Amino acid sequence: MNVLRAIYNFIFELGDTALLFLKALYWSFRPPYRWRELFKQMEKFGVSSVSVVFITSLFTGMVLALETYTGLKKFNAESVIGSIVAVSMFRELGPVLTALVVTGRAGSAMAAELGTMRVTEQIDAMYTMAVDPIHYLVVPRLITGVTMLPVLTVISDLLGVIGGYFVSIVLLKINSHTYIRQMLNHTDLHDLYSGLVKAAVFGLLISLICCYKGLSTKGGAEGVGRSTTQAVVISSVVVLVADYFLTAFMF
Amino acid sequence: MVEETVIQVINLYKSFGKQQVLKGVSFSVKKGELFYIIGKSGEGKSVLLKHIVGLITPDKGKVLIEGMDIHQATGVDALKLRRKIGMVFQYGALFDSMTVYENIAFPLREHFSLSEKEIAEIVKEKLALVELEGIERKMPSELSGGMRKRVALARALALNPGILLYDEPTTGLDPLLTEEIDNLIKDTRDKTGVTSVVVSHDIWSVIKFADRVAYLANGRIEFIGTPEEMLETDNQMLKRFICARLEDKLMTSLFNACRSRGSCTS
Ligand SMILES: Nc1ncnc2c1ncn2[C@@H]1O[C@H](COP(=O)(O)OP(=O)(O)O)[C@@H](O)[C@H]1O
Ligand SMILES: [Mg+2]
Repeated sequence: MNVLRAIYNFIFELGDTALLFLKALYWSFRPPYRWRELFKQMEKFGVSSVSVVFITSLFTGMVLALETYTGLKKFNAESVIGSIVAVSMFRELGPVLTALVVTGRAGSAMAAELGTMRVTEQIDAMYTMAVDPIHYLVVPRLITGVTMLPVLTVISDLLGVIGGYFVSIVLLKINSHTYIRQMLNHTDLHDLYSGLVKAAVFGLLISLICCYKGLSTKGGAEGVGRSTTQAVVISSVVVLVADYFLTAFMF
Repeated sequence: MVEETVIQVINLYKSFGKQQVLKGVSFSVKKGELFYIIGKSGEGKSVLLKHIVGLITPDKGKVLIEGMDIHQATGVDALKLRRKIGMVFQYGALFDSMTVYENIAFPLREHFSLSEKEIAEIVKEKLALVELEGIERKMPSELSGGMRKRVALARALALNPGILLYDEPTTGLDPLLTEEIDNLIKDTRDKTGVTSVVVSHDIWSVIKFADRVAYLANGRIEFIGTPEEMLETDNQMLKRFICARLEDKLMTSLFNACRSRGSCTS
């Protein structure tokens, strides 16, 4: 009985989320275009996450170099560390790490903000002033997700590579020249692009899920806490699942 | 003057899951009327108001605003119709990320292309209407409960709606503040001629100011009429609602005193 109920709820929420996406898509192309609101969201999204992306990516690049070094040393192939770090960052770790960090920072903030607006009737108030809440609130947040996550991913890629370089050259004493040459030889723009496409999809999914959870909040302050937690958990899981399918289809 | 009907609620039904909240609610409100809706907590008063603005869609029945069905309207018609109705929410529902000024400017910016100077003028005018001045730069969190309700009213007035709905404007306020807000509701109606529908628990507000009052119970309108008629009612539930804390006779004499003086205090 409970299982059926859970399945029913899952399908219901999936449909509702898809509907929210379609409505947002419809409103995206309709004036007025609220640039001010969009830039405000982008700034909040980027600023809240950039420092965490900075640190996590730097250390991920560093640990990648360290781990691969122990493995590759046996085959005297240390010089390919650079390309391994770069390719893993560009294709996989950059977008996924950034998406998870953003879910925890910007995504949870989004769900909590919209959830609070819902339970304090601010969203109803907006509607009665003849302003469509999806147009005003959801559209800028979706556009922010789609555009800002790739931007943050580029920063993450860059820092991962810098972290890997630092560990390899300074700590592991690998020749800088060969390191860089190897890295450039084995990495191409396709690696970067595919990662950025992933990031854009993740950004859309995170914003959509967090907006949906925020807007469908019920039951006061407690409800806001609940939907924020759910938004973060669901977004994280969806990012990892989507990552698998995107990888399977793109390569 | 011809008495024109602006709001018509026709046989409204609404359930949430198994819980039937509205079971055939019908009434109409005339232009410029100060109309009160009373009833116990949880009877569906807020749900009823939300049907009138179109926030909730009924299972059955309809709401006509100046003859137009608010739940059938789409696109531009729907927006136009919604702009005719302002709503003051129970806790104000001010945007807490915006200043008082930005809150009141919000509907203006969304619907008209006005210069900043024009907007500032309208904001000032609306704030004067609710007897608040010089608080434009404050955030909603810095305001007291009563002030927040006033700002909410100012914001609802920004688009010059023909209809104003108030959801429990005085619940949770002290008696003096209640009196103040009640006066404000009446003054606003008198100054602007706006048709006003007020949900309230406060029987004194009703007795003092209502043109007509409707009693919502068991998902229906069990009584509708003037305050005088309400005091003469045979409906036992309503009688208890009115006199919950007073003797019958005392109630009537107090009522007469109030009505003739226009205030209990003066
Ligand atoms: N969106 C909703 N979903 C489910 N139940 C609701 C919803 N809104 C109101 N209700 C229920 O409807 C009943 C009437 O609520 P309400 O109109 O808020 O009462 P009140 O007369 O105190 O304003 C309550 O029992 C409430 O739980
Ligand atoms: Mg209520």
